Amino acid sequence: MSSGDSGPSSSKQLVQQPAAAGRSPNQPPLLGAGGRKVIVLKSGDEEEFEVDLLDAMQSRTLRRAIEDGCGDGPMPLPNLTGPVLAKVVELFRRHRGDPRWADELQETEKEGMFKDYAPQKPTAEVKGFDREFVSVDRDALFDLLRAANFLEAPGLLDVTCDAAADAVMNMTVEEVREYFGLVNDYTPEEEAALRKQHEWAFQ
Amino acid sequence: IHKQALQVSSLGVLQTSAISPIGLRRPQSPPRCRHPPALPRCTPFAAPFPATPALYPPSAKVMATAGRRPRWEDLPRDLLVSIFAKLGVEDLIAGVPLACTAWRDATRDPRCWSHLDFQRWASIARRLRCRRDPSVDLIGLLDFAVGRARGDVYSIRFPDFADEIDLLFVAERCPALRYFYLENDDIAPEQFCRAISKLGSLEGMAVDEQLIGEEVLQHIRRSCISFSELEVFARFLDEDIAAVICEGLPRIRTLQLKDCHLSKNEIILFLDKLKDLECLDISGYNTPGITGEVLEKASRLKEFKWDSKFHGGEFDYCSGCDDDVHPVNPCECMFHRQVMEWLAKETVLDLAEFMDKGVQVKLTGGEDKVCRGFQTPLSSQKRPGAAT
Repeated sequence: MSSGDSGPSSSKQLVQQPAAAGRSPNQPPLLGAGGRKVIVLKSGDEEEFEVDLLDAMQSRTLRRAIEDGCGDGPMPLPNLTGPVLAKVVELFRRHRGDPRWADELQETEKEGMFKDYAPQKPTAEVKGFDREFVSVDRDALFDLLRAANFLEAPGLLDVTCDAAADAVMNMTVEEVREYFGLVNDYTPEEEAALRKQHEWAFQ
Repeated sequence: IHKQALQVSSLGVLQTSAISPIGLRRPQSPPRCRHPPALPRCTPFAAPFPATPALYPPSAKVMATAGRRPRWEDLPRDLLVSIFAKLGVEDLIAGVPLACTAWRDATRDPRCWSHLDFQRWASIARRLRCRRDPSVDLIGLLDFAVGRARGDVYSIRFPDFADEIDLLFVAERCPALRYFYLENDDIAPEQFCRAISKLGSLEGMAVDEQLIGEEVLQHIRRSCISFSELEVFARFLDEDIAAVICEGLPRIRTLQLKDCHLSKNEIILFLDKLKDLECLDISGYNTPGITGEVLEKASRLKEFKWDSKFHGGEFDYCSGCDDDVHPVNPCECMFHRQVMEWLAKETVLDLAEFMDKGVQVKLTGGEDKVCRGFQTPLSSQKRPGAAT
């Protein structure tokens, strides 16, 4: 449970922290400016991001790590790049308090960990940000999807999957293949059989 | 796991803004550009976010994924399923599975088929090249989709020609159904009740007013313990039918009567009798029945959507008094005249100042001077919403 308590000692020195030694793992981690609880996320390319604890809790992966006491040092996320993580962190920040995004926060709240958690409906501004967030090219969307999957963040997953589904929708098979760069791994016979099968099913 | 997450989040939508029905998986937004040009490979997020405090300047290291092609076919299956679950049956049949084997395998996951939407039948039929009678094709398609879902269909939206036979067909195979949308106005109540009695988990439905009767509603109350959301398609609703709804389903939390002619009396009845009501949507029809009394009673709701009637800043008809309003001798509904004068200026209003009764209502003037109301309780309004 407290395996991550010590953290990687080398990176710990990099960050200015209040003394955190001797804390029990379930206590709120670092206090940032203004007494905010923050943790530090480190991308695969060594970029570091300070994230409000409340925001980080939108990801089940981060939440598990924090509850296991890994939130003291910079938390390494080797499979996320800096630009992706920057974008995700910003999205989490915008959705702070969104009950749809942090479905499990309320129960944690009872433990007194998140006194400042207040459910808030997303405003039109936040919805606009979401749309902007996924208005990216195909490869960037791919990275975001994988980040959402790794972080297990329901809201992020919803937004990115919506964008991917929107892209696929109403495309012909050839358009889908071209747009997503899919390699057709059907044999011509298989493909013909498949096309015939679905035509047969409804005619 | 991810599917579960999605479901949780979609239920969350229901709780926070229960106006959107459970079955409304994909709001009918105007279609975006379907075929965006394939962009050249570039740094995806060139613009840094100034609000994000990076502890150190970005390192010069190359991005981990740069230089190699993202392989969409290698996305984890759960992730593909989460994406495909948002697609319609026509894409799940005629589009995605033919692209490659990995995508085909993902579309065979039952979770892709748990929310079925046949509402836009014309485009589905065109895509799947249906050439037979629509009702025959629909049954064939229902059979196929329900089979793919292995019976775990949670919401279904029928096309306008679907009838009680289609509902019964689905009800017999999908006992876990939580929501259905059936707009046909010619449904046999007996068969409808037969279908309902098989749907013990039903939480919401959208049906024509023709089905709103004492027996049907009582049957729903007995059969579906967690029923909480009702949408009725009606052009006009009188006090008798309103009373039937209140008596038949007194515990509903969401009631939608869009584009329906309602007067003040029916609105008051709903607000008085439906004690658990959280969301009332009577938008669409420009009702003259929105008065101070209505707004005050509605202040307990989480959401109240309405359109009020006035033309050029004046009521021209008042159903509360059932008479044309005489400008010289106005009825009490002219209370709202002041509101309208504000609206005429197309400003966003804070009615709380006006009423001073703890009710906060935002009003915006529409293009043709239709008064749109959207109300949320004071408790959840931390900051004023942006003016539209």
